[in-house]
Amino acid sequence: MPKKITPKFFEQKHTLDGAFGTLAIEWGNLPAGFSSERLNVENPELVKRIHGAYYRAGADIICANTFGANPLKDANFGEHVKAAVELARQAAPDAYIALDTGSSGITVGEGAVDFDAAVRAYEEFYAASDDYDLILIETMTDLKELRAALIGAKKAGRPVICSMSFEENGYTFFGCSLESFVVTAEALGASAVGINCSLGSRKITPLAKRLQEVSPLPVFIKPNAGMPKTVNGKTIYDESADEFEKAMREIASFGIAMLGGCCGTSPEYIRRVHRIERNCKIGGTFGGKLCCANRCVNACGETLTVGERINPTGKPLLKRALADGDIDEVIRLGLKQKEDGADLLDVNVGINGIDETAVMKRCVDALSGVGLPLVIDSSKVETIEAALKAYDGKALVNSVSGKEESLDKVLPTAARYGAAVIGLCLDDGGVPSSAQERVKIAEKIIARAQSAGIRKEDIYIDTLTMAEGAGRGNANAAIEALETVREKGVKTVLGVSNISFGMPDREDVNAAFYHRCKDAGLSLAIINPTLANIAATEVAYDFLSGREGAAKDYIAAKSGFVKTAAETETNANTDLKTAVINGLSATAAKAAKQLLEETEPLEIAEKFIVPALDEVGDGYGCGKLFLPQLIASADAAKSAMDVLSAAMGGRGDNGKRFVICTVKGDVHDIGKNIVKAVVKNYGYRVIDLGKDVSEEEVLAAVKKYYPCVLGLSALMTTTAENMARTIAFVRKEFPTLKILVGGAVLTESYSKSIGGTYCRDANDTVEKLKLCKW
Amino acid sequence: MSYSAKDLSRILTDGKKDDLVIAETAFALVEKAAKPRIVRRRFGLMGDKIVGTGITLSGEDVKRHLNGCKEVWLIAATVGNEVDNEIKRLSASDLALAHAFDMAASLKADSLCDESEREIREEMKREGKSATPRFSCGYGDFPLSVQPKILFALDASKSAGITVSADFTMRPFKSVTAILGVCEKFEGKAFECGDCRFKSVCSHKLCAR
Repeated sequence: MPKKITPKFFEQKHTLDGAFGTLAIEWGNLPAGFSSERLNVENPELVKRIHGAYYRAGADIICANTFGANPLKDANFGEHVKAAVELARQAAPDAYIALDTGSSGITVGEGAVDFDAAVRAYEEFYAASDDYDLILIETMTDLKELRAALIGAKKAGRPVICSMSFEENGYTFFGCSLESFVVTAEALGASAVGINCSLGSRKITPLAKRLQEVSPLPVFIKPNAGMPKTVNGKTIYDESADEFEKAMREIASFGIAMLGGCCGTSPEYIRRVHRIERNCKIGGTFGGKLCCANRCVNACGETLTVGERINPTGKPLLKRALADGDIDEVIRLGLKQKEDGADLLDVNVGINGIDETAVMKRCVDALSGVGLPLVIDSSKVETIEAALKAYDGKALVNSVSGKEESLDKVLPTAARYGAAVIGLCLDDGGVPSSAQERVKIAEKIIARAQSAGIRKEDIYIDTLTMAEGAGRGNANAAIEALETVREKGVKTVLGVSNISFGMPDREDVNAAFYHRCKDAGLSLAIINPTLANIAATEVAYDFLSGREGAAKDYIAAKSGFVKTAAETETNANTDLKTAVINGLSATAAKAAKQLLEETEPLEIAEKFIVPALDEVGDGYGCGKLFLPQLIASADAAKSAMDVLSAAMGGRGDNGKRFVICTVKGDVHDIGKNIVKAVVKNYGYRVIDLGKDVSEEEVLAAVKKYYPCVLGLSALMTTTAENMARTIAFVRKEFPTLKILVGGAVLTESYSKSIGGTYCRDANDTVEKLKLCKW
Repeated sequence: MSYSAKDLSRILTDGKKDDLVIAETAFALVEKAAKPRIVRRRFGLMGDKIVGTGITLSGEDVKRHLNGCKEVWLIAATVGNEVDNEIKRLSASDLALAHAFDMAASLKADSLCDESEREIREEMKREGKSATPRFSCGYGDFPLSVQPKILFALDASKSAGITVSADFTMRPFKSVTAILGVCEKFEGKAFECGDCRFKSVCSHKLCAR
């Protein structure tokens, strides 16, 4: 019978148990590499003996022997879980039994185990027994897998505590920081957070201190008994029980009341831990932070900036890039905004004619490399959900509105994935003109969000910025509403740039409005952080604050304040052809701009860019130039082409479509991206489906873009088979489709045998494309 | 294959140049982003079964390589997760550098195995034994499907932060596994590019010496 666990349970003193494997080997005379989960079935007495020993040593939370029965890798987890929980209950009837979840060693997400499948697996895991009292998720290093387990645990109706393994620098192997772990786990319903394994008690001490300081939840610590050493073929740990106890006493003094031991510990270590007097002190407060895997932001103090530039509205180049599946532009915008000081990034990929959900998911995955928390901006709930599944951290959803349909659909989705929400003060009746009416809608959204399980601190109300030029008093209305809403204890957000719509010198108006918003205590400003104005006026604003030293700082900032160009300019007289040949991107773009004054764009491409690429291609083909130069000149040609493209109003290709992707199961894409870059410069329109692409998606794309040529890339022997399957699948409906294939594992003969034309490299691909009949 | 900017430069230019600037830049960036982790353990080998791991050697090439060995060392090494993030970033902003960085990271992963192999040889020497050159999944007819089993035998996700997926690829991407045999004296030869079935199409020439 499961024991009832009250909310205050985790704030009391508890002793968790210690290492299972070491004892099993010793007492059971087992070989190294034995399967611990099988023991539940093959040697139940040994399992009970180990649990009993820890219970008698003082452990009041016993972990059922299910650490190795992770559902992602143990085909018989159901049987193992049931047996393990029964044995733990029998061995320690007065203890609290935790269903122990270890990390699987299997990759979740991004071309490996699908997130939904992982969640379902964990749901089944937690349903495999009904006699445990709580859930322990431990030794996690990948935030994605931790999230899948936490979401999978929701249906089990038990309290969940979770810990990750950290290196001394406070990050897991997969780059998750201590703070991001706490924010994400808390958002997904954890009752306590902790650190276990990887480090001994001495090295874990500073991390334990930091965890207690930042966590609004009770903390638990389970260190190893020091570091492992191999002596005469055996693994021993180098911290004695005395040393362990000493360190654990210090850890307890931080206000950490739940302690146990991990690898290398034994009942003696747990006995020592048990006798330590301790009380729980909660060190952190829940303030509604947001985070990505390696960075947390807190909108409780000063105004944070949300970079607005990843939004196709009014950006033909970005629209075109998204339509063609080219998300490099999205990453570039992300990196640039980060450089310009954005605290978060808004991501919006909503344009007609594309699969917004698929593109959004690719963007979320790709932006994880940029390292800023994301604001998921979409009007489609499927897109929001897909983004939240893929996102490692705690996101902000932009947005829910006062409309019934929005409240019904968006709020539960945000709550399930632990996200915060932006609420727009409009409803089925439209945008109210008065501040009071907007506040009323805000109240409705706040109430509904709270009933859906979203806390006040995670609600950001957008009182709507309407253009001042379109209605005198709009700026005042937005600010007035913002100040009123703030008093309700929620956070606030505004899209600053809207204020200046239709006016000249928009930057100046935006900067002024931005500062008014800051004064009114705005939590988040959605803005273009690249505006040099903002940085400059911030410095002036700070000068007026009365802060000591502000005058000195202002003068210092002004003398060093230079608007720098993105790249240093080289010889301004370098002609376009030479610039492309030498891979000089900024120079090529500049030269193209100059040429546009007297020459038509297409003529420029034909007379200068294509011959340059041909020359580089020939040089590469005969071994005079090498791949880095080929790629660099492709990049330079792209810069020039972008300039020409803008001049032609977005259109810039010969109309011949090349659909390209890396096949299912394969996530290598540098080679594909090189082909894309080179081919695009010869004027072809390249539609990039990305990596790990299913045959159904490929067929759908071919249908959409036919007539076209299809390009498939695979870099592993296993995925070369997927390539053969994809070709067969597509050929059923398009028997004469020209299919080009590439990748290190392919050969001329294999390619032919599966129905593809082999391309050695990017250059060869261009040659083969030229030979195609369109 | 040793690990230096010069080696990278030679690979990028088919052996013709050893002083490409992009190779030096890529090399420096890898050194900055890399957080190397290596894990290795020794196991008994009975016939073609690695004791305590559930691994049965398959394919003739690896069996021939380990012929006569009674023990093996399993190695897993990774350059770390931040390198993957850097590749993502560079791919968007500087494809040429991304490509060079990608290659440099592969070289680095391999050099970690070199380091591990050297240590193992020294240890074996102290026992009066020797070790075979290393052999990895994908060499000859040694199937990739053994890779997850090597990682589980080493508990690599816990000790080195390496996870595996159903298609046998690892995360972080720039990770390598290998197997070495413990022997009296190694009589055979190292697995070389000339022995590999992909020799006519492989541009990397990274996986063997």
